[in-house]
Amino acid sequence: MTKSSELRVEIPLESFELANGLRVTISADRTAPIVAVNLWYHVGSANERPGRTGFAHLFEHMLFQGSAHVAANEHFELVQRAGGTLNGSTWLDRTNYFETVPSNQLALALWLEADRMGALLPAMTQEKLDTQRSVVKNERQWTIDNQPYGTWWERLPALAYPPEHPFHHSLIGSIEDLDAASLDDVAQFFRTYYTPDNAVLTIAGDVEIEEARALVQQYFGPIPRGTGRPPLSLRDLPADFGGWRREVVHDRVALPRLFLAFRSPVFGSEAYYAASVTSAILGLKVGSRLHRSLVRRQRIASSASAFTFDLAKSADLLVLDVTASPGVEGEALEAAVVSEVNGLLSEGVSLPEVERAVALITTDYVAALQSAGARADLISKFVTYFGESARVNTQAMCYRDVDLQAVTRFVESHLGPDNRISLLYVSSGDDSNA
Amino acid sequence: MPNDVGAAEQRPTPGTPRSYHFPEVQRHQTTSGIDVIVATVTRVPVVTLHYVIDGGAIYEPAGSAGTAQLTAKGIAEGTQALSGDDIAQRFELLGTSVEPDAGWEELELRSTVMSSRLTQAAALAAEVLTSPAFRADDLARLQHERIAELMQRDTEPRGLADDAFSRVLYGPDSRLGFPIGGERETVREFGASRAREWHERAFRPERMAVIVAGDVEADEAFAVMERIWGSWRATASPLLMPSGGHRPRRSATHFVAKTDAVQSEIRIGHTGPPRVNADYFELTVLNAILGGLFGSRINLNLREAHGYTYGAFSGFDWRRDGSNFCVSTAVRSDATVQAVREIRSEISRIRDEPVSTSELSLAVEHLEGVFPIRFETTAAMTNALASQLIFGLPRTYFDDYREKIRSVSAADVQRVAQAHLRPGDLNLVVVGNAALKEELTVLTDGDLVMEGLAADTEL
Repeated sequence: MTKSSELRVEIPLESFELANGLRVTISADRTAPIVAVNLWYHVGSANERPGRTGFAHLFEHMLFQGSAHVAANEHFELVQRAGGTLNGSTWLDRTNYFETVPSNQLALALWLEADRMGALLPAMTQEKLDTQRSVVKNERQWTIDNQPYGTWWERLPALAYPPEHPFHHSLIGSIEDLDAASLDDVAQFFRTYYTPDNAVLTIAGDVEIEEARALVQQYFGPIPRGTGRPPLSLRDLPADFGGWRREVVHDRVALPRLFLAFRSPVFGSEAYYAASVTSAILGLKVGSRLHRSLVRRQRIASSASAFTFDLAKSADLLVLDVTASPGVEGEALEAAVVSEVNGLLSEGVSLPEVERAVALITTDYVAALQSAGARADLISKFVTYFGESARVNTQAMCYRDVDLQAVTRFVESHLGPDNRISLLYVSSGDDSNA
Repeated sequence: MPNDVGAAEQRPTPGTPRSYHFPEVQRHQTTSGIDVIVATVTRVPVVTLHYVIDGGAIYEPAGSAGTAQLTAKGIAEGTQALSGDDIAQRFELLGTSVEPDAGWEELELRSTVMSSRLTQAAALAAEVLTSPAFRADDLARLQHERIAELMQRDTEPRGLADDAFSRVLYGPDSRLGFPIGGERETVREFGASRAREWHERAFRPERMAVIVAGDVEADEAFAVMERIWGSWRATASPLLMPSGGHRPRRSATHFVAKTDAVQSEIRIGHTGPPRVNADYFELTVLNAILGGLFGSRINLNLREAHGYTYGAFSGFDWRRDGSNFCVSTAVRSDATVQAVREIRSEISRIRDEPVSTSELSLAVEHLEGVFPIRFETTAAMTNALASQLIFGLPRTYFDDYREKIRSVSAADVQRVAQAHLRPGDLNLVVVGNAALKEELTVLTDGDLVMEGLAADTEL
């Protein structure tokens, strides 16, 4: 077993809140002269109104087009010129923006984030919106439409959440809805959701706490608090799907591929850790159940993995992702995967399986903390979802504390036939080329 | 300390930079002749072990493409005492997964573990590296997995474009014209005898190095490696020689038509100088300006100015020999021809005129400033040290890097652009909708080469 002392993560944390509601955490580590700045806005595709799917992600693109004191395309240039890396991403219930820069450039990074939080709209133009709309459509094509199996990412949430549920619709959005997005939408979205009281800021790396605190106050302090947001209408969902839904997709794919999904407890809940360990037992790395049985022994699959979405609201998803070997039909693949799951239900898991899963997850967690950007994002995540930065230091222990009983409880309550979705891709036959 | 920044509207100026040095490295050789390279970093209690073997795909004789990679994967499939399943369980109980792999020059095995697990992981890695069983059944499974990969590739535009680019650039007579993992006809030829032969010829002390980065003192790491590897002896065997180079290929446009494609995957490029060349730093700056940074000419042109794509970039794929320069992007089908024209014009422009002071400083300042951010983790450090080893870079390479970048001028950039970017030698690959054939024929004055998918799709 891994020594407990090695799992003792003790990242220093200094948390405070500005008068305008911005929650800030500073974590000092002076080993390398770099610093990561990370901002989570508590808004995502789940907040989109009908007819505007994909808007939160399109809006994320707009954040990089300049602000009151930053010209078009200057944001990227300023950070890269400063020797930094940067990006952003949109998820169902949050959008994050992050950069890692040499530590003597902290002020620039904070100033840029504050300028676009406080004064984005003066820089928004129809031309920029049209260009980014085009870029996002290209992104959609590149990641979904021009990729075998690409639509799984839209089909699975649509199956897993009821039609009126905020997690149901496409994150990247439909072409139709993207075309309908207007500058008015941009302004309204910004005023509603991009406010300091809806944001979490984390700074991790080579900083002096008081200096960083002063910069935060100077740049973000003057930004007024938001005037209120519509609540996210996330009604409680039942703990399981209440049945087994199946969808078969005929597509230009070389091999059948099955996504088998289960509704699972939300990220950060006690049962979540058991779900996460179960997912690792089933499909993390080649020592996992699915790989050992379906890929290695039976050779019915050419690859197999499992993961959780890590959604912190409403309900999470545990997904098995298995691709058939050549010559294996979709139905046979599904039967084999389901048989593995049923085996888990009837025979349970073994202690070494739990230990293996915990060892992999905890080692990976600790190793990932070497990166300032990863630390900062984790801290922002825990503050946004739970209001507690300190969870970054206890997270590894939460996994370590998952025992055989907890996994068994989770398996019995969540992997049964009344809580399944099968999304099966099969070849539409002829993948002809001119 | 940052300067007084004044009002919020005033753009802040940077404070005094704190110095950074690439971690200090200590070197040792085991009694058996294996190089051990150690960088001690104690911030987090992890260690990365990175085994590098000089025995990658470039050494494969004609007709056996994929041998190195299959052999690499094969060593994890079992020893005399342990099955592949046993090996996976043992490594993963230590919290690490081990996926040995092959590159062009090298074979690699990497493992990141909590520091308390170092000795166990190192011992297990040694078993796997020295005593593979290469059971026929296990190797057959690996071959089937590769065939499945190739079937997937044949329906996936990015992979199709990448492999077609290699094929047209280097040709069927060069090893570099085939993917590292081999094609169907070469993968079929693999088996236990080839694996054993490869193992005997590549996995030898004089061809191996172990790189260790993390929470371990150099002395301890040396002691561990000496204990494990000190008495390893390999029997005599013929030397592995790199297979022959490649002949220059005429410039042409190659089209892989795909009936359902909604975008065109484009690759434009030609061969490049060896990794170790006198213009490496100048070429690095050149590439950052041309297509390496988000604010590069090619990306701003195709993405921000024209909205053709989600992203377009250029890069040198460095090899000991047989490098290439490639511009890569996926564009709207209806913008294919325009995108090709824009890329060609950017390549010409950077040769014809010196870059601006602002473009130069963006590239240089970025490459200088981002340097420490590249090496935050033990895995990133060992990757960098492995690269230094594989290409025979100087011991002071990381110490000198930023200074060499700083010294690059606009005149240098133009000089190397003219020397190393050759518009007349550009090969173009398009994987796109079949309907584009006519337009592409016009673009190329009728000189369009139609490419198919890989030959067959059976096992």
